[in-house]
Amino acid sequence: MSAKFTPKETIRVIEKDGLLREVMAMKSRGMRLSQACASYKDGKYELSYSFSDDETLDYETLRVVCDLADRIPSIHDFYSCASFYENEMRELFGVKIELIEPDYHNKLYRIKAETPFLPEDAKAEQKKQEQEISLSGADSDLDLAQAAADEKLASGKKEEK
Amino acid sequence: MPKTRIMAFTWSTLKNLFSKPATKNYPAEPIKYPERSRGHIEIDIEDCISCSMCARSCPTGAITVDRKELTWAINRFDCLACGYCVIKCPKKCLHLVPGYQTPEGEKKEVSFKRPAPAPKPAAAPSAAPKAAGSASAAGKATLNGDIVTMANGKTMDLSKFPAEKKAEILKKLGLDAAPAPKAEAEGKATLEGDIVRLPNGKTMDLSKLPEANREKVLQKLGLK
Amino acid sequence: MEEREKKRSVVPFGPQHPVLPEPIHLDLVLEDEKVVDVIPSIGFIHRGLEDLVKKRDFNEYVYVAERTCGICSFGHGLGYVEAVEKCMNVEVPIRAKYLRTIWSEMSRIHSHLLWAGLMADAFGFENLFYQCWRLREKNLDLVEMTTGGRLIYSVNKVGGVLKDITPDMQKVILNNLSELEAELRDVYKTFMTDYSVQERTRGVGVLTKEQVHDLGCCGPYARASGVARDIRQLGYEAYGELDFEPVVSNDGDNYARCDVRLREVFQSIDLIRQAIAKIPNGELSVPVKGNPDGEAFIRIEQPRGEAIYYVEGNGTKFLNRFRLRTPTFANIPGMCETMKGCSYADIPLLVVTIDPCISCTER
Repeated sequence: MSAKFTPKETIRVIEKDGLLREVMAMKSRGMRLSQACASYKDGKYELSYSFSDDETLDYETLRVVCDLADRIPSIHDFYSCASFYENEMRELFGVKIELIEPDYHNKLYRIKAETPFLPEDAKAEQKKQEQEISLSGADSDLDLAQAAADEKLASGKKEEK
Repeated sequence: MPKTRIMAFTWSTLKNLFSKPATKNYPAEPIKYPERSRGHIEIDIEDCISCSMCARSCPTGAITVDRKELTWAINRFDCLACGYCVIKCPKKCLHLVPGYQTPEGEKKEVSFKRPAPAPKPAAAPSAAPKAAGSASAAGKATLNGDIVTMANGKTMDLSKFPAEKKAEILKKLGLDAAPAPKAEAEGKATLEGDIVRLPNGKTMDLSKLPEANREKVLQKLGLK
Repeated sequence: MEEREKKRSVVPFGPQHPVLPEPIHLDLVLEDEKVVDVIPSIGFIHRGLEDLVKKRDFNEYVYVAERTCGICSFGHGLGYVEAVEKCMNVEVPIRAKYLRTIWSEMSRIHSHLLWAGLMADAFGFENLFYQCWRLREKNLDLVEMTTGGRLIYSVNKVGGVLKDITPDMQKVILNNLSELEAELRDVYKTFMTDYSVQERTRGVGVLTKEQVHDLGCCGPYARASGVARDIRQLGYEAYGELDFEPVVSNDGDNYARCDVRLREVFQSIDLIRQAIAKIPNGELSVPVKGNPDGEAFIRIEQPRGEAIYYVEGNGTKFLNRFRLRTPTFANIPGMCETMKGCSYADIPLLVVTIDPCISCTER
């Protein structure tokens, strides 16, 4: 008879600020990034990062519940394959993920409409929240790093030409 | 180190060269589809009651039902032959049969018209004596609100008959007691929030209908 | 002596290319004839199917989920239906589980034979390509006899299955599969021992076990590099009662991937025989009341690898979110890694070895 598996499948809610630390812990345990997706529910984003253990087939999902204008760091430093998932989340739902490598700049799926999976009233709410944040003048480290990355890309393109 | 052969496929090639082709000579030979093959939808139009369940359930919107004109139309080029309408039809008058739509220059709809339902006054006199006859032959009938259950198991909805015919039927079945006037008093439909209570006891949830249809229903029932 | 700086040129590959079954675009950065870097880009057939859950109720959505892709269609329908059933705590009858297993394996046979044909076409062996697809027709005839459609089965529903495989049909299936198996041995022998095939596939596109783990590859692509994991071992549907081991190879090159996939076809035929021998009598489906509320993750072994289905319901008949992560989405980074350092002429083969199903990837 073939081997029997009784895998544990869990969903754990974590804070947005603890995301990188948790992902680092997953990497050190040898888990494989299985999928990452976003969902919009009751005025907030629910991001799910799922990790799978190839030995025991355990399945752990990290759930980040965040506001519409929150900035989420990219996890590509730990899992290089995360770029497609993060580009997709940003393009379809408008989740503000930063420092994705490679960054497709919302052209992964070549859609004409912007963030089509996000309802219209949520888009308006997101703009409002963004304005509030910029008015309060909070320039995070992520912001500066993103600006530096964009500049590097632009200068690299000029070199090739 | 696995074996390496030169021309490992030669024997199969020669066999294929001298045996009959794997393709069928279509359209010279007609194709025989298996019994369960899903090709297109056919309708027994006499059984259709224009409830539009099929049109609402179609994933592509290929079916159009017109209640006033009593037509049922399908755009065969949009139909996926998924079979969901067949499952949803309450009268089971739709069938998914083999045979695909042949290619044509432009899309078109195929329309069927069902015979108009017989007008009510003409139907009541023929139905009432028949029903009364069967009840008296088989035993006693029972009355529940507006529904009469005969001894042979068949049911009859009294709200469909005009008041005088109702009284006649009940008298014939031996059920002409207090319930009959009660049914007459309850002749109007009532609205409670989103739920409409019909005179025959059935309820209808308006929140399940699209906006446009809600107005029509309320107007028809005289609640608007 | 000065070393001349090698000039880099960017060559676009796809979206239209004779070897590609579906459109994918690659920007290949070449130095002379060697590939240095690859930038993949998809998005030619994005249809936004995941958003349709808001407009089609959860029972009707099965028909949309199935039509995400033509090759892996049964798997998508099955995964969606299983996820909704887990969300609503519906227990499917045992006969329905066995039937779903049989159809799932038939879908695997057809998909692997299709891939084998495309692989043969990619290195120019058209005769072998036709032979593989001719065998696939035998399989498709069996599928049409039992479900009514060749590629889109439309036989799943929330709560069970819609059609039955009668004992007569079971006899026909067993006969035809025996014929298919006998002819497949010739094809397998050609793939594995022919000199021209070996020249094109051995030692090309090597991925080690560690690389496969880092890049998140799954399915036969990972099993060909030594990762002995098959999601069917979870025991979903009737797999818990069947006897099988994952098909693994240790070389990690294109030759190993051919080997793994063709051996999986033999394994599928064996699994169908086991399932038909053990199938119990019973109902085909249970009635389902109410609406889905809650969320569920389901993993299924599609022919191409591990597919993940996530369903989130909110108590109405329309789901809030349906997410389908296909195996090709996870294998594309692996593909790009194998291409670095290879010669330009090997690119079409390396694209075909991941078994690309781009319409699933983009939905």
